[in-house]
Amino acid sequence: MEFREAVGARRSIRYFEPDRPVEREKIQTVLESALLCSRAVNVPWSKAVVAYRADLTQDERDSLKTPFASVEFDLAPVYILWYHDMDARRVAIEGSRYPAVVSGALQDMVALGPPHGWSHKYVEEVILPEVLTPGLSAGPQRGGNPDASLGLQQAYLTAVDEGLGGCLVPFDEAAAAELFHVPDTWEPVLALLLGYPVEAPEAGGQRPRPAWESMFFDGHVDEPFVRDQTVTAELAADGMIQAPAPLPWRAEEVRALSRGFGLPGGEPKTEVPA
Amino acid sequence: MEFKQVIGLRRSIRIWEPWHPVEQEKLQAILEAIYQAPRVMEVDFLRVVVLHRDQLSPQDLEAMKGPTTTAQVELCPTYIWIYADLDALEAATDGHNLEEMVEAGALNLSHGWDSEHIHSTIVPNVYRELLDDDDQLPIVFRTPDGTREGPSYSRGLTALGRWAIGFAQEYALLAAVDEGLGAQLSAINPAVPKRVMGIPDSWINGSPVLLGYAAESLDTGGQRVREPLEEDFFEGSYDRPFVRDAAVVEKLKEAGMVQPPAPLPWRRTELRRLARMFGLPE
Repeated sequence: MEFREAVGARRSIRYFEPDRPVEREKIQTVLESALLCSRAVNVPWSKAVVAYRADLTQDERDSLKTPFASVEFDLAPVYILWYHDMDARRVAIEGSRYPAVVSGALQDMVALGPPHGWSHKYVEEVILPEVLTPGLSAGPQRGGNPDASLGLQQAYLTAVDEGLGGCLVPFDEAAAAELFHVPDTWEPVLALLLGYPVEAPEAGGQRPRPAWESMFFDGHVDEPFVRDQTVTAELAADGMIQAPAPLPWRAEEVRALSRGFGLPGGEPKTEVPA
Repeated sequence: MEFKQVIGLRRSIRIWEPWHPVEQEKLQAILEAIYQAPRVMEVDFLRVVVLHRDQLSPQDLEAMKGPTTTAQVELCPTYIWIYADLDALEAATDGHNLEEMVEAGALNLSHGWDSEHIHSTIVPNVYRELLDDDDQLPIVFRTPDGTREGPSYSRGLTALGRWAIGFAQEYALLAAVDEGLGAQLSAINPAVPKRVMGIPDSWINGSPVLLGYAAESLDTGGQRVREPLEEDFFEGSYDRPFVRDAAVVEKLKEAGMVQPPAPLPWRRTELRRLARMFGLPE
């Protein structure tokens, strides 16, 4: 799939074929992709556990649910529970773990070198004390880290490229820790639920977004980045910008899906007498 | 570009053609990709500002440097600064975004979504709890005299903002590759852009995307080596690594996602030549 199409086709899919397994090859592809994402000082901040709906009891599935996500855990055959490893920096430093920066890997790979002032000595005398070590004595700290969510997004887009449906949802941290034995130094990010969609790939159309002018600026927060409609037309032609939700048939599709799964909202549309 | 090739070709580019500006339409294409990134819990955290190197004084450029970002500041022609406005969660407590998603047919009654769920459960039990949590972190700003504390937000809310920044950074990096550009996330002293761009105190920053036409080859001497997949990803339980199937890796090599590892044999020569080109240490 072309990149622009993958970005445009990504939706939160919430109706999956629950008994249709996802090939392990596709799950590995999603993880291999995440492994290649950008990450600060080449530390493996992202960690994840792949879980299969079919391996869990109904009570176990229920325990993972949150106000933001319930039925999704009943329908998706695969859950990838994504975490931020709050201890990753300490482990990389103390173990001088390859290929994190502290091991000298980026110089060995000739990714960084003298033109930017980098050498093994620079890592030891500058990067280690000024970048890697500060704050470490406080121990693992919650509060998120963008680097752990880069890999999650790379995984999600790769799932789209693999023809899968995906959805990012919060999950119950305590239940997941008990079920999957994750270390307490892992801070949950979100779960990437995967499976083959039952709903149409458009899932009713591209989702609404806030006004462009409220998000994108040119040089100063008082100057919106001017949106050129010829560019948006080109991106639409390439599939990055798609028809907005709700598509005219979406309500009918959702009713039918709800009936099919025995979920609320599946009642036939009531015709109002003229 | 084909998706897997974009993933395979993405590298941290650190040497750009400083004289070669990035076309406005390419910048817009990157921003449009960010626009399609998922929102964290349907909150509009993201704010993105494009700034060109030539809008900054030599003093500001120097002040932006840090241990991990040195010559890049002057070599790259454009920076994309990605922020999360942590006040966006308070703004979302009227439920308008979620109502809009229900109207769009994205969140449906089949999954428990209706106006009552939004206003009786999500807003008080999720959004408000994140806002009112006692475990608050102040935003700390660098100043010429040291630091100053700005507004405080809960750790949970701060984490959501940081996830949102990471989502946008990811879309920006990949879109840049697709546009034929070189990009890197690199830590920069945020005090300078905050002053120059008028950034409010409620916006937290991540590393900006440094952007331009690469002077180094796009494969920059090979794909960066990673630890084994089994160290980061697990199957069924943390004590069971997700065991890699070598045949899948071979397929991904054919598709261009897994590429020859760094360093390629000619990389040191390339880097020395680039250093001479730009008057940098060899």
